[in-house]
Amino acid sequence: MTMLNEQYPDLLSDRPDPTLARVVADLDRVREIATAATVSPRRDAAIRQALYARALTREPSRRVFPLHGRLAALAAALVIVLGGLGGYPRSTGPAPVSAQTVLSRAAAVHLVPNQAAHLTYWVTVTDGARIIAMGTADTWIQGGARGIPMKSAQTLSLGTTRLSGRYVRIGAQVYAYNSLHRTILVSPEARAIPSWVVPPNLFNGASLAQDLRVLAERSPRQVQAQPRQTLAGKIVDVIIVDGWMGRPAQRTTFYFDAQTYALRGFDAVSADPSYPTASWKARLSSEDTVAAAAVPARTFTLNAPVTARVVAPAPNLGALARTCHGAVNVRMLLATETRSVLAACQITAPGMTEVGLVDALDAQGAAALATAEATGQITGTQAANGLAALRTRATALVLAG
Amino acid sequence: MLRVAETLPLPDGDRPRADADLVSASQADPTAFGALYERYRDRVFWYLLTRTDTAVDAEDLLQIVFLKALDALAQYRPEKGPFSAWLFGIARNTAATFHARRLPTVAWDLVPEILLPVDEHDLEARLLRQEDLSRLRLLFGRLDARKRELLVLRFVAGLTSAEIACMVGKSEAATKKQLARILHTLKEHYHDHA
Repeated sequence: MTMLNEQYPDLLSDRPDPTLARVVADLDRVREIATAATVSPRRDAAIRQALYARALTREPSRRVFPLHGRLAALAAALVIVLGGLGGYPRSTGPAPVSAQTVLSRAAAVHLVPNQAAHLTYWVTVTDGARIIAMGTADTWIQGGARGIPMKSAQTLSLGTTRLSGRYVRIGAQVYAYNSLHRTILVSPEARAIPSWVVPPNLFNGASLAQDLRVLAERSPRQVQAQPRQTLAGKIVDVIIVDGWMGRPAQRTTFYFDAQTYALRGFDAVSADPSYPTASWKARLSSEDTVAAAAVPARTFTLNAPVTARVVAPAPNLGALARTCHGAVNVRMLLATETRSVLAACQITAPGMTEVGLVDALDAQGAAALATAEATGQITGTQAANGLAALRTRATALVLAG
Repeated sequence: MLRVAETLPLPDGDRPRADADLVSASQADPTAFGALYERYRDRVFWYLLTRTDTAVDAEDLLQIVFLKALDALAQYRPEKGPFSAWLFGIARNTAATFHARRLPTVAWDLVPEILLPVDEHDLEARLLRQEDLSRLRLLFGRLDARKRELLVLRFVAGLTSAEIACMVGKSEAATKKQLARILHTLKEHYHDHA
């Protein structure tokens, strides 16, 4: 058997066929020529940097939420339609107030003490000229005795699409339920990277403004104020955010009421034709304020069916360095090491056991599950199943070589 | 200037790890994605070179492909096929979008000029090689786009028949048969040109 036969066993049979072998040999020579080309070192470094920057904005995958990437991509782009209701923004002229000023004011919006706000948005998602989904986002925000928002609930109802979902946020803790997949997500780290499905505070103007203000401080060029406009009869401050949630091709335009600083809507589109994403449009359609005591029961619980499955939280890799006395570089270990995580850990922490290391990796997720159960977001069975799945993941990680 | 900490770590070249391991690691910690980039960078780049006019365009697309792959890594399911097929599927779609939106008239070329050897010290060999390949290029240009793509995936990107089958949504047997038919067509024309 020739080298060519060994290389292309699917194309060349053992029966000699000189002409066919010549064709394959010529094609193989093409391969040789092609493999002489290389990415320029400068561009290679730039791509690595871009990937690394993007990787830092990603959270570990949550496998049962396949909409994660797709929706997160969509999320950066909201917009709407609603001719009469939302309408299209019209410029009103004067020089813009700075983005930081607008966002600071919007972030500082307080509720009347012991009151709750109820806002509804019309939402449309399009892919070019085609409407992918249309529906509503229903948001409740409740303040404490001083009017500071303490908890919120966001229900996105876009038919049977993957976009539909419900989020409850209590302080820094976020819970999500996806009705299509009947899965619950308990995500302690969600506040830092609010990117699954859609950000849990996408329709919570004050919370959203806080996040955008942080982004504006870090990267002023990404967040720009535009001249005030009129949107559905209201004067709005306009904030344009490029590359929100780590997506350089996307441009999201937020409209904050110039008087109340409530979020009146947003549009999101792809600004790069080579990287198209769906466009979103959202417009405020109703707003109301009620006494906290009058908020319907279970407004701030997930209300997921008991048959819904809890997605196991990710093992806390941050605990590795502490547990293994600081000598384990997790990233390099996962990327390049040949030994298991446990074996690597035992170099610097000789007494470490499999159970001990799994417990350390599990602690954060287990606490989140316990809190979720205690606050009625999930049932005891769901918490137990989630914990079992978490331990399975952590054990696999610890023993993987 | 780039700082080391701001770039993805280079993978360890001493012991190759299975794609599945690297994917799992990247799903657990997206910053580990550098190992997959390193493993597939060149093959995806070569493939993209056949779909673009310039190396710069191919590099642009290369970045987009891997950013898309990183974004979508959570959706990748090993049971649906090898990572290589999934990744090249992204590359294929990205290149198609590029052509549809930017360069709708650019034709595929199995051996783009930018890939041809430029070793001035071996001019004779270079000319001979180009002449040899000119026949192949001519025949290649007569194939329809679908067939050209199969050859590119097999010979330039180095995918196996099984990987190509998964990528294009056909059975491995059907893909092998299709490749065999394409080669047979080329073979017949080789006879004609002999």
